[in-house]
Amino acid sequence: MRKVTIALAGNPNSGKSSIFNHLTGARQHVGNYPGVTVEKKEGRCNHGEVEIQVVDLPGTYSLTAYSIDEIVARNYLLEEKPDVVVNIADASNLERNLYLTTQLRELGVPMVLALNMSDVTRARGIEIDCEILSRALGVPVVSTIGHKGQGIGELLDTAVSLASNGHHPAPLKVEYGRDLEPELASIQQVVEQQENPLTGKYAPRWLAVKLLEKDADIRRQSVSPVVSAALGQSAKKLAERSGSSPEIMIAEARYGFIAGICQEAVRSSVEVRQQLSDRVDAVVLNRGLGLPVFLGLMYLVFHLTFTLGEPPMGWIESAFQWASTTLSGWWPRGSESVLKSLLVDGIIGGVGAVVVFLPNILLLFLAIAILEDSGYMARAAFLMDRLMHKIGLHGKSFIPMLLGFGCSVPAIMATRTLENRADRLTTIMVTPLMSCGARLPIYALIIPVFFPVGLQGWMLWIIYLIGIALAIGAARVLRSTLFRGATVPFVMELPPYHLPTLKGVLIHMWERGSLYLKKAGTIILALSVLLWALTSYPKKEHYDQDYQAMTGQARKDFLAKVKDLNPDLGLPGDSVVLAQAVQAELALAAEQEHYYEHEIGYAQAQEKYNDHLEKLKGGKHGAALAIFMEIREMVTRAHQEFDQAVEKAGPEKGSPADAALEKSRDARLAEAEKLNPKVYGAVVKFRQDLETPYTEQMTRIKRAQEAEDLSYSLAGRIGHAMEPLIKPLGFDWKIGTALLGAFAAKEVFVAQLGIVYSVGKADEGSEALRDQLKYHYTPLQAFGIMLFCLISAPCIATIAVTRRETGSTGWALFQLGSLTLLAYLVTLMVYQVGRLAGIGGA
Amino acid sequence: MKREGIVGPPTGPPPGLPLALVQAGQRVRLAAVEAGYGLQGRLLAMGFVPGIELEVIHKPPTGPILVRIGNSRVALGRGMALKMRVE
Repeated sequence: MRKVTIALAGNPNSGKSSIFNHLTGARQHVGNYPGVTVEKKEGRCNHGEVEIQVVDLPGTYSLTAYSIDEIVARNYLLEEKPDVVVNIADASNLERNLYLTTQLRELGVPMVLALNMSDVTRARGIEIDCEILSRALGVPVVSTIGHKGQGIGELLDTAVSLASNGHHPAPLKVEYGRDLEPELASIQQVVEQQENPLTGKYAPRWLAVKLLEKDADIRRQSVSPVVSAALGQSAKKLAERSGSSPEIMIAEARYGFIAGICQEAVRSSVEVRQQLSDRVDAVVLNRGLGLPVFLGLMYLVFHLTFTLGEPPMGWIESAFQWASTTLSGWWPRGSESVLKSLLVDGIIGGVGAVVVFLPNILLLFLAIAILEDSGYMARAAFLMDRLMHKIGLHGKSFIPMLLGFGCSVPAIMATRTLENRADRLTTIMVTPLMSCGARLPIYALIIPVFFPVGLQGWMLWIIYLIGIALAIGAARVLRSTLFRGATVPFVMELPPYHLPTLKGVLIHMWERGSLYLKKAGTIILALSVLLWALTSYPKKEHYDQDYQAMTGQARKDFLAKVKDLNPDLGLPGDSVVLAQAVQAELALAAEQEHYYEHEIGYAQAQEKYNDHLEKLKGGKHGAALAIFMEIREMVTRAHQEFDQAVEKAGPEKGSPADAALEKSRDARLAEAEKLNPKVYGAVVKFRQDLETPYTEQMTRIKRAQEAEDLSYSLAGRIGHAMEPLIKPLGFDWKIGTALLGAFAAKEVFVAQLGIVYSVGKADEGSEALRDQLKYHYTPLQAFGIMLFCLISAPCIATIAVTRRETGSTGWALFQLGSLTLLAYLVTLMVYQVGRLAGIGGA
Repeated sequence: MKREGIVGPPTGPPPGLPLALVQAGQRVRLAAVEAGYGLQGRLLAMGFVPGIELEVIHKPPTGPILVRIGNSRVALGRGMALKMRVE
């Protein structure tokens, strides 16, 4: 199969990406051009017997180096030498689009011109004669309707046949007029005589035009004192003669050339002025109406993102749950295995926590893709420009910052639309201050503990506002120090509105969503393992407390107390039959811990227990034991079924449904009581005074051991080591350890805190953890914790994406360091001032 | 080569009226643009050459203005619009 490389070049909004999507479908690859952060989109498609590699160049208005985009596009054309360049031009705005076409022709690359959106053109009463256009430009011209896929076949036919005949058209010679031409000639002469690294690469006339146009890239590469002098002289001569500068004269000449072509090739029958887009804009950009429309749309985006995302999030959660149960099943139950712990706790737990946000992320991107493809996003930037200008940023910076409330990672990726590096870096640096969705569980855990119901909503609001205020402040500071320089004036084309296509929108969504997934598969995976190791190792060999002895003692106490029930059952005080039965039950539980329910050992243990119990029932005082066990079974079942029903139906406490359930439970308990009131009393006593305290005691011992393990682990030690540093903030080592977890992903903070406080698996609704927090911290400290989590080091994924997007580890570290420092200073100030003022129970 | 983009006769004030002062709905001709190299170039590539006809479509009391140039709508920051002279 023959291979052909095609590069797509065209203005922004010329429909280039819809043609690219149409050609390649899902077979796209998005990367970066080496060394720069300009997106490089590539894809493949087959056309007949030819395999076509399609490269989507950055959308530019020109090939002169005004920004990195033009340099990237031009260097690709000149250095990679694609077989054919497909120049996509918006036919409804032909003159402007032909400016780039003219420059491509001046460069002399083999090309075909696609007149896109020809349907819109026709509807506006504009007729373009492709024949004449083709002759005037010296290249084939094809009419296309990108989003419908019309004319694409013909376009590919033309491109492939151009590639196969290897015909390179001679570069177009634009007549620059009697003022410019002599100057071009003299510069060309100087360039030709000079030893110049570029003369072999580029045609001398082209170089002369670019130099006179003040192309920064070409000048940087080839200016010698002689050339420089010649350029200065020419500029001076031109200014004297025509009162204008060379770059304007060159642009005017090109537009003059284009106007000449259009006069022959384009016939416009009617002039349609008030178009649909203008009418929509009259509303959307209106002072009074525009803002409500904008806020309403933003609300809709966030609302849909979170409500529609909920069910799939549940599915993903259960999928990970299932995976961890299945994986655990490979090992004998209750066994300790490093590999199992790594897989289940480390990898599945860590990656799962991140992948769970994928539905939110995809939906958010979907909404954004729709807003972008429809043309609304440009209007939002227009509306917000005034506001953003005040903090030294652009209207375009608004979108990434808004996305930051969802997740910083896609938000930072969205800064790609900002052309100016200072604007872009500033936006990247402050975006993590927008409180992302992963931080919400932290606030949801803490706020209800320390603040009265009436204040809770306000607290949350205040936290978000503090984030926004700090972002504004930080942006201003950065803009006047590190990223100084005038704000690049806002110049942006507002594309006509159009209905986004499903395909285009889905492709856009997936482009970004897959980046998030890739992140979960790489950085987060590695970090989950690291964090798991930090919290699991080193293992403690000798504990401070003898936990085994403690559990043994608790058991002994429990069994001893069982004997106290003997009088209630009418047994002699020294009877051991009940104690023996309870002991057999504990032995059963201990044995069954090693087996899964389907395993033979599980059933064998049960059988052994049953035999033992039967023997006891048949022996001395067996009758009393039998009735005790029967009533106990009835009571247990009544409670169990009640709990299950409540869990299933979830009635409100005190509601009629709840009362009905309680009533049926109490009826069953009364039935059991009627059987033998005395024994029933003993059963209740056994449950309340013996069994429950025993299980609680056992849990406490287990948790204490876990806490000791964690304290001994590297994470715990780091937490301890951090304590002197974070003490002025009102934090202890436990908070320090949890903050370490928050660095991997903010939502880990809550889970980590659950481990340090030995309350087992914790989420933002965990009451046990809330009790601990209430006991250990003051409201002021709690506020400090939330502040620190809001401001401090964004999660590792954010740092990684910053590094990628800025192309520099330095900036990523700067972001990490400065935000952490800011968090430290703000929390320190709030805590110390609050303490002195005696606010918040300090 | 700092302020090389300055357009107009080397001496005397730039001609015409700043675009920012034109009322919405009016059509004017661009006379000159006073901008640095990169911006000047981009504006030229977008068709903002002297003599081109512009129509101010939308002009809020503050913030960027919207102009029609050829068949496209371009948003221009207020500061930018002050540096564009029209007649």
